[in-house]
Formats: sequence, structure tokens, C-alpha cells
Amino acid sequence: MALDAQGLDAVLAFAPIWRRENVRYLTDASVGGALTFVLLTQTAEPVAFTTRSEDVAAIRSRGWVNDVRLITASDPHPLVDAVKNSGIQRLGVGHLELLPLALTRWVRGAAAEVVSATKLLDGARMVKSAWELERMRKAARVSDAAWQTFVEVLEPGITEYDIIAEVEADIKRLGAEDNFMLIASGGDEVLGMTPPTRRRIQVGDLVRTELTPQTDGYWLQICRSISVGPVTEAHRRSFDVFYEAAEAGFAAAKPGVTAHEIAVAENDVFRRRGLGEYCSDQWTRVRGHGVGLHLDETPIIEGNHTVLPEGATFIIHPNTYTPIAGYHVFGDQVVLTATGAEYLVSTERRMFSSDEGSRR
Amino acid sequence: MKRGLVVLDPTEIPEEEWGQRIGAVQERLRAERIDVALIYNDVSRGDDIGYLTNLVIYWNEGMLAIPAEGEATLLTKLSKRVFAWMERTSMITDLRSGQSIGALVSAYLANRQAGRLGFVDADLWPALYVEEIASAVPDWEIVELGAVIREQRKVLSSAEQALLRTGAGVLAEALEAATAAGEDVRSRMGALESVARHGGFADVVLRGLETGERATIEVAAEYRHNWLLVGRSYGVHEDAALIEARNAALSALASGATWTDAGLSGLAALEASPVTNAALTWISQTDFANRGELRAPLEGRPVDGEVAALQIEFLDDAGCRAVRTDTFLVGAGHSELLTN
Repeated sequence: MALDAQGLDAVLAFAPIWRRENVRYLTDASVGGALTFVLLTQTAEPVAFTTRSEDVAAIRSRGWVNDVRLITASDPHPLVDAVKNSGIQRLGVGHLELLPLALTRWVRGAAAEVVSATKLLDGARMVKSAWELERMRKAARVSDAAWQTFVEVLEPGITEYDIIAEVEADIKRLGAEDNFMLIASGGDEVLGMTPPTRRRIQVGDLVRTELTPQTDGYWLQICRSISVGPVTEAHRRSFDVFYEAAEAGFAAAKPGVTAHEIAVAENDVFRRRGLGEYCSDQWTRVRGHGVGLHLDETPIIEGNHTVLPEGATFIIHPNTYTPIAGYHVFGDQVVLTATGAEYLVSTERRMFSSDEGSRR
Repeated sequence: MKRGLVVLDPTEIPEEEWGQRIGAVQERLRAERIDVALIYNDVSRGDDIGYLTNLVIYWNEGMLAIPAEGEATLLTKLSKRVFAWMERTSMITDLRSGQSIGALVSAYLANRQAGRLGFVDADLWPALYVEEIASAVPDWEIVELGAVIREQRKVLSSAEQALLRTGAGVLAEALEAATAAGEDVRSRMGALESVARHGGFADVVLRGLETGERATIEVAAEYRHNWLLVGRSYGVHEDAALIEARNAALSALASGATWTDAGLSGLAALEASPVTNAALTWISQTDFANRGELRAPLEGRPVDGEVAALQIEFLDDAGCRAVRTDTFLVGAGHSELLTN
């Protein structure tokens, strides 16, 4: 790792419950502790620290980090002592921006200088190895299955949360560790997606979902919108815009492209159709984002000049509101190859209808 | 992840109760001469804001500002596009969005006379946010508060107890489905998830492990901001001993023992069993989502209306872990087992 280039004596990867990607990257273990760390120095073997006893065996079993020590939130001495005893002067902390106040005081007392190493670790994770891509392709099969379940169970009368129950159950059976999923149903009044409600699906609805199962550590996202009943003319017109925008983003995707350039390619489709205002943050968040061991990495937005190299994985999704049919989502995760990009999921890139469902 | 049903239903929690919750916080703020309290929650630890407003922090992070007088305000980096949903599903009517935490707080405090700004559960706040806010409002005195909201929500109201019992009923069915689902731990987890999600759980944090003939499932599940914690190991011959130890510990607790002494009673009950090297842990419901790992062990005695879990675990001769975890409600003279 580029510790020298950053002038760091060591990196301490910190993982709160909702940001475990760096600890996963360094240990390959699915940890459960509320607080976990990995200390990586220039010369010594890495050491992991966790607040959960079961994590000790889980981390050791993966074989990458064998020295695993228990800490508590109120007594992180094993961690503090390890930093002190290593003679670390300049310590980079991955997710320093999330490190709790009490722990920050301990860590700052253990090293002469503490700086953020979040970008360093983000950069290290960005390029996926062949081994990682193999895992992601396996994860993609779970995402494909999740969408298949979604289509099969969708019917008039079912509630939003019952759809999610079916999807969650199926992906857990397939080995998913977790899932990030949002949904919205209704007409052109829909402005964005949220967790599910008790709303019952109606004929004529457009149902939007962002499905992101996590399998073997890797998140794999797919975005689709589906008509309930026959595909309406408005749904079709809306889909055509989003399909064209996603295709434009895909066509721009090649090693060395910036996130900005992909976003511009997507947004230009909206601009050409007089829908440019709906690319602003009033109506949308991002035009895609990195997805890997974390589900929401570098954003695909205009102004983000992060260079995306071969092996980078991200989703291209021009999701936004338009007056045509309300909020619409469509997109797939890709990996940058030597010459362009490759889709990781196999789900068809077309407009779906609930009439295709078969589980009823 | 929080992707299950989100509901604001006045037949479940009456509107007055929401007002009482904020009012109790404000009373304490006035007693401690705090002008404004800030509560920071993230997607893995959103119960303080959920308890006070019913808002579900399903995205990264959120902050709630509570003045000593007046209404609470949500400060978030999330887009305004979902404010309508937040207003429909929570008691919050003042929602503000911005690019940075410091700027949001600075704008919120702009029309107030500088005073004392309290950070609730300050130890758990990201340090850089505390520093960013302190820098953005230099005229305000920063006060690091303890677990003010957590202490308040430790004892459940009758409405919350009713919801928790409803959730416990659903979870019992989910566990039955998991037991019937076969040997494969994934099938068990899928069955449990299905019943729990159809039953209206907002969050189901599942961990499963298969070791030889033993499968273990541990779940922290959230029903309307009330949590249940359950751990089951299948294929464990010593389960009867674990249940006996659990009952002994709960019985001691109901008789007035401290958490520590009740734990010792549970361990004593295991002495005649084949279980060796068992560990027994009490966990407050306020911390089920992180299994109590962000807090010091429970001390003293429980109070009526408090909910906790008892986790008993041991390693067998082959080094395989087995666990039995159940959630209970402390009542006058007895502990009501919510999971069994």
C-alpha cells in the first residue's frame, strides 16, 4: 500500500457498523462487532481489533489477519497500546470522519499526528482484482434473482412492504448477507424512493426499486421500474429516455474516463429532450456511483473528476423525476475492462410489466 | 438495513405521547441549563431520533435539534425530495437540508442568542462533526451530554409494551418457520426474514453461522422502534441446560437481585450441566442493534418496564460456539419472557 507516498507510518482502518468496507477489504471477514479496526504498519503483521468475541474466529479463519484482539468501547487499551508500541508517528485513519469522540481522543493520544486515510483506502479498493470480480459476478446472480422475485410477486393489491418481504426472503436463501433496497409506487406524483409503506399496488402504477444485495461482502445494485398491468404510453416514453441515458453513460465508460464525463453523457440525453432541469439536485442525487465493498462509493455526478481505471465497478443509473411518468429508475452495475465496460448483471434491460409475474 | 415497513399510526402511539417524550427531554434540558440539544444518529443507531419523532434514519446520518422551548428540527444532508415522506411518517414538521453539518447547525442557531449547546451521547458522536460544529458556532458553549434519550426510553410506556408484544408474537412465528425450514442455515434465515418482514418489522439484522451439524442464527429485529434480540443454536444437546440457566437468572432478577448477581445465579445453574466456560451477558433493549457493545455492562437493578436480553453462550469441546438469547420485560415481581 502507498503508505510511503502519503508519509504515513501506519494505517488504522476503522469500521463502525454501517461502514465496514475497509475492514472487510483487509480481512475478508464478515464481522459483527459494533467497532472493528485493522492496524497495518510498514513492517509488522497486521492486527485486528473488535468489540465482538465471535469476530476473533471469523477473522482468523480467513487467513489474512491472524492477530485479533478484543477491545471494548470504554477500554480500547489493546488498540491504543498497539499504536503506541509500534512507534507510529503519523497515523492515517480510514473513516477518521466517523471515529467516535471518545475513541478519537484515545487514538490522538497514541500517535504524534493523526490524519484521514479514507481516500487512500477508497483508492485501494477501487480497482477490483480478478478474484474480486469473480465474487461480484456471483453476487450479480443474486441481484438478478432478486429482481426476478420482484417481478413474480408484483400484482395489484399487494403492499409495498410485502413485496420487500418476498425479495428479502429469497435473497437470504441464496446467501445474501444484507440488502439495501428502496421502493416507490404510484403515478407521476412520485418524487423519490423510500422504505416501504402499507400502500397497496394499483393497476397503472409505476413501481420503482433499487435493489442492492450484498453477497460475500460485495454489494451489487440493479435499478428497474415496472408497470403494473399493461405498460402505459407514458411509462414507455419515460423508459425510452432513461434507457437512452443509461446507454449513453455506458458508451462513455472506458478506463481513464472521469465520473464527470459519464454524468455528462447521461445528462446530455435529458438536455437534448428539454428535460435538463431534472438533472439538478432538486430532482436527483447522482447519475450513478461506485459499488463494491461499500454500496455508495464515488458519485457519478458532474463536477466529480475522479478518474475511473480498469477494474473499477460502479452503477450507471440516470434516476430522476420527470413530468413524463414521475420518478423513474433504471440502471445496472458495470466493471471497466481494458477496452470499455461490461455489465455484471444479466437482467434484461427493458421495460417490465407485472403481467409477466408467475408466482400467483 | 432498514428496508421494512415504516408506519406512523396514532392508534399505536397516541399523539400526546409523542409530545410527552419531547417535553420530558426539554424539561431535562432546562434543568441542566442547555439551550439546544443536538442528537446525532446513523443508519445503524437511529433509535433516539426514532423514539422522539418516529422518523426512520434509513440513509446515512441525521441530526435532531431540540431547543429547551419549541419544536424539534431535523437537520440532514439528505435531499428535500423525501421530506414529504418524512412528514408523513414522523412527527417532525421542521426539516432542513444542507451540504454540511456545520453550516446546517450554524443556520439553525443563527436567530438564537448564543448559549449552551448540548451534544447528546457525545462520546458516540464522530469527533470531526463535534469539531466542525464547534468551529461553526464559536459563540456557543459546547456541553458534552451523556445518554440522555437512551435513559429516557429505557422504560417502555404501555403503548410501547403492547407494540413489543405484537412484535414478539410475529417473531415467535418467524422462529418457528426457521426451525421448520430444514438444516440449511440459509433456508432458516430466509424463512425467518419472510415472516418477520410480512409481519411488519422495519429492520431485521440477521447473522447465521453453520459449523458441522450446528447452525446458529442471531437476530436483532425492530418493530416500530422496539427491538427484540434472539439467539438460537440448532443441533445443541445442551439447550435444556441453557434454558434452565436463563430461567434461574430471570427468577433471581425478579426477586430483586442485581444484574450481576442474577447472572451469577444463571451460571450457578449450569454447574451441574455439561456446559463449561459459559458466558452470560445482559443487554439493554436500548442497545440491541449493537448488542450493547457501545456501553458499559449493566449495573444495579432493573426497573419495571425495562426490556433487556439475556445471552448465554459457550464453546463446546470442538471450539464451536452455541448461544441462547432471549428478550424479556421486567415487571413487578416477575420477568415476562417475550421470546421463547
